[in-house]
Amino acid sequence: MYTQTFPVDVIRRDFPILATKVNAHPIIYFDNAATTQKPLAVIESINTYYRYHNAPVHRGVYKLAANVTELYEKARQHIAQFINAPSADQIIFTRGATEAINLIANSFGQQQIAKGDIILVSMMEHHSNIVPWQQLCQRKGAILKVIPLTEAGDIDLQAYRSLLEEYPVKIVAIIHVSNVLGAVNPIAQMTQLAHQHHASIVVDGAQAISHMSVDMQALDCDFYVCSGHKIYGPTGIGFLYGKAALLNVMPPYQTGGAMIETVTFEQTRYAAPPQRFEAGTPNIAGVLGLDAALSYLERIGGMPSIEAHEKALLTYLYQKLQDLPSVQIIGAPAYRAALLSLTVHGVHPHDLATFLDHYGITARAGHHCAMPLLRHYQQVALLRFSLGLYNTRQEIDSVVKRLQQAVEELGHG
Amino acid sequence: MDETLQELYQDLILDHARNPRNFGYCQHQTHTFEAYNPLCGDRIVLSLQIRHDQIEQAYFTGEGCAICMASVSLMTEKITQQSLDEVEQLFEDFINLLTDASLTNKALQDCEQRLGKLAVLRAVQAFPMRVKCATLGWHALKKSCFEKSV
Repeated sequence: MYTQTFPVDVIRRDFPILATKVNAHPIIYFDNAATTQKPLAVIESINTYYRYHNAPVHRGVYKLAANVTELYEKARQHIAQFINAPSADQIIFTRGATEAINLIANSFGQQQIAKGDIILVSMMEHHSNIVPWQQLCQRKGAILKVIPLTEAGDIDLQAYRSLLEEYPVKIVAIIHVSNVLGAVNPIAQMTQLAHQHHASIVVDGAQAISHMSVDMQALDCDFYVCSGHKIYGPTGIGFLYGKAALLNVMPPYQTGGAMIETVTFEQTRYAAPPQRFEAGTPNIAGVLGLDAALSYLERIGGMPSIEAHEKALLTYLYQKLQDLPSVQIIGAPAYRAALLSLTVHGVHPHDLATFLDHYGITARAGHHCAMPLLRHYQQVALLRFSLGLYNTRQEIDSVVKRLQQAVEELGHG
Repeated sequence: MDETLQELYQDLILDHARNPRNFGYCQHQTHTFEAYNPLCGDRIVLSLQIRHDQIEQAYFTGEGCAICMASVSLMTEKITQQSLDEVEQLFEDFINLLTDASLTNKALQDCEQRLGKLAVLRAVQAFPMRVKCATLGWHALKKSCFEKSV
């Protein structure tokens, strides 16, 4: 057990990669929005699974299969409890948030959307929450419309309200935390508005879940999707939460083994959710790794203490960056999770990223899979710093120092 | 900056990145191609005047990182008044210089001699993630000279 204050130095020892070097410098990992590093507990849970528990889930009468099925379903319960979902049956395992959105678009969307219907996405969506809806619109003759942003980079709620009033909106697809701006969107409020207009709401929680507590019953959204590897779990595993009434009547996304009740050559009866949406042998190691990641987060104090630690770091980073006159931080949303993107006058983001990497600092440069948002800000590339629970003030000091050095040595001088 | 980084961002490269040469369009453009790297957003439009299988003028516009801009800027200087055969050789030399670690000393020397100032970009070899930046303009050159005309 750790103490009440956030003992980041102790916590860092749980992450083997943080003891490694990049280009002969201790690694400073500031690309947590892309993927987070894994604590030993996660790495070992995967190892333990393959060493001692490997067996198929939901089939096999032997002990090994029964044991692993129990572990697998306990993981599902754990996730349900972690996000305060009413029932574990509302958690469906997927490869990640992307597959989860594709599942919703291809099952729920395919079922619900008709010609002339409107699907709303926001200006700040990740490509993964644009393209599946665009494809659905093309298949159905539906129309994709965009919720604009305010000057500060928040969702324009007034415009959102008008869109809901003016058009036959069936689905709202919205990112919870922007992977570029860090903006935290008012999901509960947006859900309430969507429901008032008989629209369903799909929330991309990929960036939110590692930074804050998320509560399905408080948000009241219809669907919520996450990727395991962005919350200190393994890659290749994620999940979707859905309202039971919707999941129960949705057709399968993929078909095959494990998702059926009975099969004859004439017809197939599908199993109830969640099995209906989990065809084939699942990523069991991934599920158990994700379970271990959530346990780890709870053990070090849970999301509120992680959020407090990250908030303090973000404030510190923000202030230090504001002291650099050539740095422009993109957007000024009302609430920001622990990430931000910036430009530096006179130095291209890719040159900055290479420069920083040379000193062990991993930071992402590019369009961050949000090309419409970058176009909105008239940018082609941004440098992003995204923080995680193991980052420190000393790391921020190093990063800002190196950024300043890059400006001096690569800039217009 | 330490040595490896210094190699990459040496004065010649930074100078061409900050003050790109031949920036604009040929007045009598005969060939053009727009190259785009969706991963990083670098975009180069090459504008050439080719007459009797020789590049009379080479200009470019676009936006990109220092490596990309310097590479194209140096390239436009180099290919002006060169025959298409020579340009094809330069293309091969440049790609080999950046990507082929197994070049013999002799081959390397020949490459560097033909490329002249462009040989400074050899430093990019140590940064594999940046090879695409350095070669973007060159792929535009190949497309515009040998695959597309307007």
